Amino acid sequence: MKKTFRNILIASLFSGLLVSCSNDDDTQQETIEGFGDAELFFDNGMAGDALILGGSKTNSNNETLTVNRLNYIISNVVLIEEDGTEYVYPKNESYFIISQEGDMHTVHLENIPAGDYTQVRFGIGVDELRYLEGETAQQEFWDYAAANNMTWTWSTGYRFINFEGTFTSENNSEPLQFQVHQGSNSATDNYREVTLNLPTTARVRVDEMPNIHIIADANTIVDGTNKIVLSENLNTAGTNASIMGGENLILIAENTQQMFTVDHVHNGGGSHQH
Amino acid sequence: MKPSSQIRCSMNRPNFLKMHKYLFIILLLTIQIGFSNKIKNPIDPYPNFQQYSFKNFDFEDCDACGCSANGGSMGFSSMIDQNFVGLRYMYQSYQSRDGVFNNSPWVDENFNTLQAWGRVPLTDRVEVMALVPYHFNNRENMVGTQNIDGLGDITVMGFYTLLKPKMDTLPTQHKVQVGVGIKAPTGRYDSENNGSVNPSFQLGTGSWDYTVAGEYIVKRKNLGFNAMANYILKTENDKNYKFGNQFNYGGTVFYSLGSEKFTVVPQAGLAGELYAANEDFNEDVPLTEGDIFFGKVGVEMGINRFSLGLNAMLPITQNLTGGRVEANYRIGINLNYGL
Repeated sequence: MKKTFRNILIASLFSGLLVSCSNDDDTQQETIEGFGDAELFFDNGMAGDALILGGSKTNSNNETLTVNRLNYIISNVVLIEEDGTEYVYPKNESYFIISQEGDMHTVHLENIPAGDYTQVRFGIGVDELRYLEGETAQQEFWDYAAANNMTWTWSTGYRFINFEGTFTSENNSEPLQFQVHQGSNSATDNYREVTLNLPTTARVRVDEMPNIHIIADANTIVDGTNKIVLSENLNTAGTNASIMGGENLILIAENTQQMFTVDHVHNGGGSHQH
Repeated sequence: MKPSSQIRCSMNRPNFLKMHKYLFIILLLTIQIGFSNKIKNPIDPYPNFQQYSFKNFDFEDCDACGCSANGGSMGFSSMIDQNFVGLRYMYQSYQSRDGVFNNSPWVDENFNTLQAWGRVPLTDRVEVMALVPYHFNNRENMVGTQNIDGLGDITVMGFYTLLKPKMDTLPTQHKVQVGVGIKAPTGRYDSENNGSVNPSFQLGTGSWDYTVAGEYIVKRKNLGFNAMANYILKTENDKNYKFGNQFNYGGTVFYSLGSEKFTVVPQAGLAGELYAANEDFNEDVPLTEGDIFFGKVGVEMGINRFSLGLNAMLPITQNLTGGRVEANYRIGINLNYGL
């Protein structure tokens, strides 16, 4: 009896181990067809910390910024497969606003061809082509942007980034206000695009929605590759630092190319909580 | 599509799953037979080993945080009787960062496990071990307390004694055992939880996992040393998630005090766990590999056929999930009845 049990036991244990190699068998060539959704989740930060409106952070220019507003426009989203195939999201629907104060963090994309995407590209702001289509062509988005403090007048156009708050520096221990309003103007086109690699594949399927978790580091706007010292940009009265034009916008446009990184991709479905 | 690089065996998946269930049932039956026959070691030639061999197999941690932790490196130990049935309570304290930023809040995670366990001899050299865990885990985050309760993954293992002392009168005695086992996905795996920073906040891995284990015990008079190592091969679950394979190792020094009727065995040792990266749809999930190294102390007391064990583990070094998860400590209490 004992021998029999022992043999059954040993045989069953070992056979269990032997067949284990077949576990990945279901990765047969899956037919990828149909359309699905995808989300870009923008998690706003300040140099590694979470961005908290009203919270303070000292940058490498030795200025302490208390951010009260961070809104920006994300546009012209393109999803790219490993072989380089690009899916360009329909341009008319490809303008979005991310707003910390409005708790708007998500770009929701629909009807994307099912596929394995390894890169994402998007623009920061509104491209000239779109702007030149005129006011009536984009009335809906213009109104939406206006409601979120992302417009000047039509003739001067959109604010691509609205970054506001107060700051202190070696020159001012009392907080002074700052406004960084990034945008294009008649002199320069400051719209820029960034292409980000995804650490793991974003799987778009009929019933699977990837969530691409992007960290947006607001600190890079004035403290990136180019250093923009707010206290050197005060108005003549010395009460306010307002950056809304000129050379600084070109420098900021360059900085924002390093503003975004993908932290992780969450495949499967459901909403993203963190 | 990327080319698939998996090895393919001839068996297709449905048969394969059935095969697992079949094997698992056989193993469970085998244990029942073991119990019902009340096979005791007929001659019991090496009482010292039988009584004081500290079992430190840590079969169960499905991952760094022990979603199906039936013990982690806490070991599988009984001093009064190597063959026993019993109950064990384990508590593991972790904290994980709720967010991706340096100043994201830390969330306390509490993993509680109540486990029925047993180790039953079938023959002179063959034993079967089973672990049936029930988990009640919780964590506090910004939105409130999240609880998951339920049956965990059941493990069944068989051990074979390769080497044992020829005579119990030898001053130095050596024993070597090897084992293989299966862990069944009886614990619920919820892919939604994987959106969180700690992917291990689960009741089970959702997968059939396999273990190979080895143990060496040397004992001289009252002093003994146990060295063990095991490797857990994890497979992909039906949500296409695969927890990383795991290597556990440990060494424990123990000393037996007391008389025939009342025994006290203090013990101290070191234990480690190494984790390979988790995989999602065959791709490595960043920041899921890791390692942890523990110091541990414990004591076991035995009266007649009952034994009570207490032990604690404190991490010495750790690097779990890119620093986003930290283990605080583990404690275990067990009450066994010797067979």
